[in-house]
Amino acid sequence: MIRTEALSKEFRSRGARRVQAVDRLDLSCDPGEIYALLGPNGAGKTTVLRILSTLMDPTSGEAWVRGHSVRTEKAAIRALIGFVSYETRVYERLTPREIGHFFGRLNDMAPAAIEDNLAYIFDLLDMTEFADERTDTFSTGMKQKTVLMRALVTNPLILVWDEPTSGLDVLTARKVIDYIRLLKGEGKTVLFSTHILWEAEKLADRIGIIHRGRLRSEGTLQSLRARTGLGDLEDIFFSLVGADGEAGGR
Amino acid sequence: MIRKALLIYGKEMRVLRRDVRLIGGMVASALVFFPLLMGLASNLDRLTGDDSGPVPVVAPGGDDVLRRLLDANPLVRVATLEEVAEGGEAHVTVLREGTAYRIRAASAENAVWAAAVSLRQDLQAVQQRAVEDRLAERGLRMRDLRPFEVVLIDTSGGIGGALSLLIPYMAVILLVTNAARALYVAVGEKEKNTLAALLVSTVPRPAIVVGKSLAIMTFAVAASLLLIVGMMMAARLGLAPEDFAGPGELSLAPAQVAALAVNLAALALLISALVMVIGTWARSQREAGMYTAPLVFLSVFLAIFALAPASFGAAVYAVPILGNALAMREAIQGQVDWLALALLAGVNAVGFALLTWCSIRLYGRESVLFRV
Repeated sequence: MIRTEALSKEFRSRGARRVQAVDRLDLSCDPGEIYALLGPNGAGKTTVLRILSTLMDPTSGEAWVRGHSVRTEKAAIRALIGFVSYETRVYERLTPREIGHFFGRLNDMAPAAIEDNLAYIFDLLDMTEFADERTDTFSTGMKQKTVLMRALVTNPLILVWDEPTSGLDVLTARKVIDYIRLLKGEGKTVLFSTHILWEAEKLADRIGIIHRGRLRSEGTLQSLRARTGLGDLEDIFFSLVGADGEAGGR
Repeated sequence: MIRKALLIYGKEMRVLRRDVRLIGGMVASALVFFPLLMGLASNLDRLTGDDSGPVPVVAPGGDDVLRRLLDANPLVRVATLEEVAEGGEAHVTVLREGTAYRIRAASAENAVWAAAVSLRQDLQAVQQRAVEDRLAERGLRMRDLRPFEVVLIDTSGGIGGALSLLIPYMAVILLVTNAARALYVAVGEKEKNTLAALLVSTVPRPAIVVGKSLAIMTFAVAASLLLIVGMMMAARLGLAPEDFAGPGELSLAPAQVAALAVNLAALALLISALVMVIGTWARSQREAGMYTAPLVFLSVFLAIFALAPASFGAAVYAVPILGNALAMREAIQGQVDWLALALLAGVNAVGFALLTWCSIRLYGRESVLFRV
């Protein structure tokens, strides 16, 4: 479903300093799978997700989403994915229903189909009560639901989710975790990034551990345990990331 | 592409419409604030003149005729001895030197000038009567000296006077300032972190840019049209002096309205595209505001030529803002030059196309879209 091959992304700052955000990354995510991209802050997770969502172009290497190249077939990929980021917000002067219709129609959906989808999503996310209220009075949890609704209204096959629980309180974070499980039940592929170990442990079918732009290891929790000889994900994580940090002189 | 641009436009217009402060400020400034300001400014001399009272006039060795005039004129009075002794208080002096009455106004105050002009008119009326008396003594009448009359009749159907100069000036400035006020449309998505969702949808970048530009353009044109309506209504309601709009009818013919609409739309097209480039480039509304401030100053500078009641060559229509202001003035005065308007619209459209191309290019640059 999603595959990258020697994917690299380099940023150049104004002072001509080069930052290698993603470095020859190879990963693959199968259809209907929940894949967690696990890594510390600044590991390159967001950049990978932005490239896969066609928001950014890779400097070198290639990535495909359902066989479509992120370089040359952006429109086809955009029709397949829903993108949610902890950074993204909602239009403050519109209602969730208006936002849903706006994005649905931008993606060439008929109004009746949008309304059907919205009725289902509002029910799923428990949003019916505030579906016609302007979002500027919403709590963080209500806004997060609206962001998710916006991504789901087009019924995407793949959901790309950057740090789904970042900045949320425990209750809302728990609900988001439940939604991700729900989406798997719907047969959707979910690729999400996180630096919270238990999230990856609880949710993911497979985990990719990324550090300094490079994929340190990838597989199911069991395969990671077998590969490292460690039982706990935290220990696995530090064995893969911590050692490199020391080698890097940090 | 067009359908998606219209969807973006519809969303932006809905967001703008719900911004109570923005809409309230635009309507209040166009329909209330500036028309009232115009009424106040055009009545300033009357208002200040009423408060200052009669102007003291010194007329040493004045004859009976002059003394009678000074007594009859409500704008002047004979200066007291103290005022003469102290000096400075009596700003108007009338001296008879041979056959001439010389009126000296020693102050630039409106009341002083009004008094001096009024005295001159009184003396000219006396002179007129004296001429008529002398002619009568010889069995002649004034019309024997003037075999025909020359009468100028305004048939342009346009608005004249100061109003015809003020409307284009204010309309252009209000258009630019309101386009700048609608910066939110251009920069808001980036500042409020809603841009990524839009970019990941299947909408093409040009549709985003064009849809947003059209929303800024609509808002700016609406402000200018409301201002024109507001100023004309204020003049009709008598807020401005009678001669403020000239001798013509205080209304616009359909051709004039069409010319004004084309002109405003052409200017708004260019300005909205410029605001869009600025908004796309800037990190925040605050930063974008810094870049639009010089644009507002430039528009004030260029539009000021519309206040000069002079004619300019055809080349000015190739200069946006200046050409727009002058063509607007001509349309209001009843002289619609469709060729000049076509040139103007062409120049603005080319500017729009170039600037929109720049915005689309910026929408393709990660360093611009994701810089914070």
